[in-house]
Amino acid sequence: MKNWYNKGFVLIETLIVTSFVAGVLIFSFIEFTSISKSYEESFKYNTVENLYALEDIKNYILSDPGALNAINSSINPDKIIDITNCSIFTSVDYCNKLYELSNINRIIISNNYFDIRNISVDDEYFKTFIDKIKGSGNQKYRLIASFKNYTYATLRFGDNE
Amino acid sequence: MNKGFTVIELVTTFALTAAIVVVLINVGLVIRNIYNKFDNKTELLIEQANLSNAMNSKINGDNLTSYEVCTESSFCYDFTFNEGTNIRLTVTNNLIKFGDYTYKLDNNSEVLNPEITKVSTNVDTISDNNKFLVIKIPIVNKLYKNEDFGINLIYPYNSNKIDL
Repeated sequence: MKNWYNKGFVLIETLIVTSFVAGVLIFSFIEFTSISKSYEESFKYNTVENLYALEDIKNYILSDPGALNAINSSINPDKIIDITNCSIFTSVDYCNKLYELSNINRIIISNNYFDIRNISVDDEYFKTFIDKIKGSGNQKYRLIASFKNYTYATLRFGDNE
Repeated sequence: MNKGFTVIELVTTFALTAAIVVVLINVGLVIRNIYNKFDNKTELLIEQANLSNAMNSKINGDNLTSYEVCTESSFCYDFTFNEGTNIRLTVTNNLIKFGDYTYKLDNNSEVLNPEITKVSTNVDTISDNNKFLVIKIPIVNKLYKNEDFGINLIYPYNSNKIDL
């Protein structure tokens, strides 16, 4: 009886501790991976440079009555406008140069109250960014842009409702 | 059957323990590397954000009326604003100064070919902005190849109103 208790005791003890340590390591690894992924994403979202670039674009939209009319008439609660090709602007050349200097890849305008998770885009990283946007604020519209260096930004604008 | 059981048991136990220790050491090294990488990158991005904010809020926020070359360094410009204030921008290989704001680069970072350029458009209405002043100060770091931690400032202006 005494021999039965002694045989294999250290091994069983080690196996139990190993299982426990392995479980803690796996849990820590999963949590750390999640945190580091969020941290990496924070480097790419709403950087200061990109926000100032969107501010320039917002100011251009607000200064162009033709563009504002096009936005007001086209946008409604279930629609977005893709303004990447500058077609709504009076000066396409100015718009193209502004996008080029700002490294804009794609830019869309949505109604700020639109469920933007319904927006479909080809770029899965852009979609991930859009899914993380929380609709808030009193402004009517929202600019959402992806940049050529794989960063993303969003800016609300328009009259308060 | 009894002989040698304790030896086998001990050897097995020792092997398992050694494997766990090796895994733990590797995990610790990986975590330390990731921490250092994120720590460095965070510093670079914070400095970039602060410098970008300092320059954008002044140049885009106030009314820039002119700029001219100065001689304090090879890349030195004095910016003048509507209310008569002046701010100096100087860039050397490892130091950027804009007014009171100073950014000293770390040993792994350097400035590459800063430049100020003007870009024209075909806007022909007198009252609208028709040009851009572009200030580029690229900053590269040995640890993060192909990433730019510098400044790309765009200032739209109306050349019919101010001559930059």
